[in-house]
Amino acid sequence: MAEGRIDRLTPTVWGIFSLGGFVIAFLLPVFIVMNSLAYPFRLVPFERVGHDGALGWLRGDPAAALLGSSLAWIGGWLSKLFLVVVIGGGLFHGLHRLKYVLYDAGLHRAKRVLDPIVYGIAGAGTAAAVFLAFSFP
Amino acid sequence: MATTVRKAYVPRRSALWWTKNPRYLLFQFRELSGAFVVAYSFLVLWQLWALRGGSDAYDAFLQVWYSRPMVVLNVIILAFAVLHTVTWFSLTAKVPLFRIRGRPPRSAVVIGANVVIWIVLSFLVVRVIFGGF
Repeated sequence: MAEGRIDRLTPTVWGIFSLGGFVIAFLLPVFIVMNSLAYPFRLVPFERVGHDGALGWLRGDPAAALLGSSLAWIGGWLSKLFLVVVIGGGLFHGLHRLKYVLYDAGLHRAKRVLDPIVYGIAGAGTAAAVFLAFSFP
Repeated sequence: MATTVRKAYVPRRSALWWTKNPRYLLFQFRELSGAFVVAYSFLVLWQLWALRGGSDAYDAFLQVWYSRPMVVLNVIILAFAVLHTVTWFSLTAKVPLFRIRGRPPRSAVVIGANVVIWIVLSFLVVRVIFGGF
């Protein structure tokens, strides 16, 4: 790095890594349980996880039932933001970690190549999450 | 000008160095959790894509999603996610983000607070986003 130039990228990606670490530490286990395992372990009936059930929680129906109709709009925002935060946090955190696993495995010389690939995938995946989540009514 | 050619010292490390000590093993598993977290993110993107495709596309997706190998994979992903949660909480205890009366809080307090927040948030996600059991 040239003298006098401040490296702002490294602390930024470590900051996002840390933020993602908190997000998925708190939210990912419960999401996996509800999204992948609740039905096979017979915690919820099929109607809850089928096409209409999935659209229902994405629309924010459970929150609307709890908060009342005047605050129902919060529900839809909440479930979509939840998806974006969990997917984006997971991608930035997990890929950052994988990058260092690859460095350890001897790819530290390929930093210039690896950095854009890793954060490019994370950014594209997060953008896809925003697009997909908010494409539902 | 004469150049001296020296053989550089290359430290040798077994490819299985991380199996030699339980701490190294835990470290590798923790780092590996990143791969499972990334995999799950992409699985959910695939799920959302299928859901956009309508009722028939989503039913076909669920055939795969709830097949036995997929459920086993999801249990493994959950195990790694919980490993991440536990190791992350113990990590935050080592990096004091604030001080109480000039001292960093005791690690038991930090981990305990994290666990309480974890339980409360999990309960809220189940109740508010997914509508309970």
